[in-house]
Amino acid sequence: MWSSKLRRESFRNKEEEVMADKEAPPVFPIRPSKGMEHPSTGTSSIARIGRSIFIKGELSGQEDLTIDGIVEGVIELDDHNLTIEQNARINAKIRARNVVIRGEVVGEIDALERVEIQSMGRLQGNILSPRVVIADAAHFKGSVDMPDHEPQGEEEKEAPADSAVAADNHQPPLEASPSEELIRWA
Amino acid sequence: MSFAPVFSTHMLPTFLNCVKGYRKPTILDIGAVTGQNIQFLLGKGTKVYVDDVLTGWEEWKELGFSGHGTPAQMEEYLEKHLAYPPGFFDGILCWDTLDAIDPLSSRQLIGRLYEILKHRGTILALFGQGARVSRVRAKYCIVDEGHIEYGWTPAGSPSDHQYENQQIHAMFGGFSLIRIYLLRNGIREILFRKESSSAHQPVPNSHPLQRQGTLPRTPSADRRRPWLAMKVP
Repeated sequence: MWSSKLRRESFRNKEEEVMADKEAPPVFPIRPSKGMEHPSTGTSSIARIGRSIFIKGELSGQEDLTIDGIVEGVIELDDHNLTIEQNARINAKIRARNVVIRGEVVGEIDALERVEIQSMGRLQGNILSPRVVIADAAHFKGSVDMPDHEPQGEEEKEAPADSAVAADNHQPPLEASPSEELIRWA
Repeated sequence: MSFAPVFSTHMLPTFLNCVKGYRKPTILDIGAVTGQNIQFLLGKGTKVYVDDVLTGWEEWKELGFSGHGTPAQMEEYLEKHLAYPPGFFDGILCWDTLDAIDPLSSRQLIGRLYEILKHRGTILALFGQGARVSRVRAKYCIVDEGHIEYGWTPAGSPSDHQYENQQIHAMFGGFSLIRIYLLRNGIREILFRKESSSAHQPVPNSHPLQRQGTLPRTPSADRRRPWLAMKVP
């Protein structure tokens, strides 16, 4: 009898434990996020490819990356930052949040926020980014476009025949100086 | 902190009005590269192409040529470095690039710009008031639609070209003049528009080698540039 009572009680306890387990909120493992400090070193998590490294292929990751070597192929960091250092030679299609260029890059860049070409930087290729910063001595050849930029209330025209007339009527914001004169060729 | 002088511009708003008729205008800037201009033009809803022709030409000459570069070298440079499809751009910001290139090369460059510009596309060009003797060139940064900041950037060689209005008109033979404006600082802002091919007058070619027919040319260049193949009496 004691044994059966004990068995019943222990069964009830186990049932309660199972119910408690079912009601407990799920526990997710902690993952490092952007800008999070490394637990052992205390430094932020930025990976680095040194100047003697040569990579050919697809490079992807979930942390910031600094490249000082040679990379050919594809670089995908999605929501993270890419820094291309002075010794770097990149021939790749790049996707990142921010891209800073101090070395040489050939290829297309798709940046969520910003592309910055610093004074020693050279870029030949196309940029798709809402913001572009180019330093004075930087070298850039290519195109820049803003993603998803749609001018409102304007329809496409094949040839704006009246645009010159409209342009002629446009008044510049500054008043013309008396010594400035308008010359027209007949 | 910048101490570069800021001047008013009267043709930039007109240029922008001319190109904004298109849904997503494509603009080529062949002047010195500035992020400020790119950001301004992006803000106007345009797609911007940047190609610093003068720096590229200087580098091209340093690769193995000496002096000013021959017409054939300029032709080769334009083939390789300004290789855009015909009728690709709605507008071209030329700035004062032509001031820094010799007259014959300028005509070749204008011929190339004519090709890559759309029908009724617009070119904004600036011409200075005199020869540039120092090894610097102007760098034009758009402050806003009515103002341009005049900065300076190193240049490979000084310029000794000063074009009269009639010379400029002759150089832009295939274009119609929309307006010219003389600023107080002596800069002439000139706006040209590409007219239809029937109204197109070939760019005059006065180089002696071309008159003799001894200037080396590629057949493809002749097809795309009828004025080069034209016999000049």
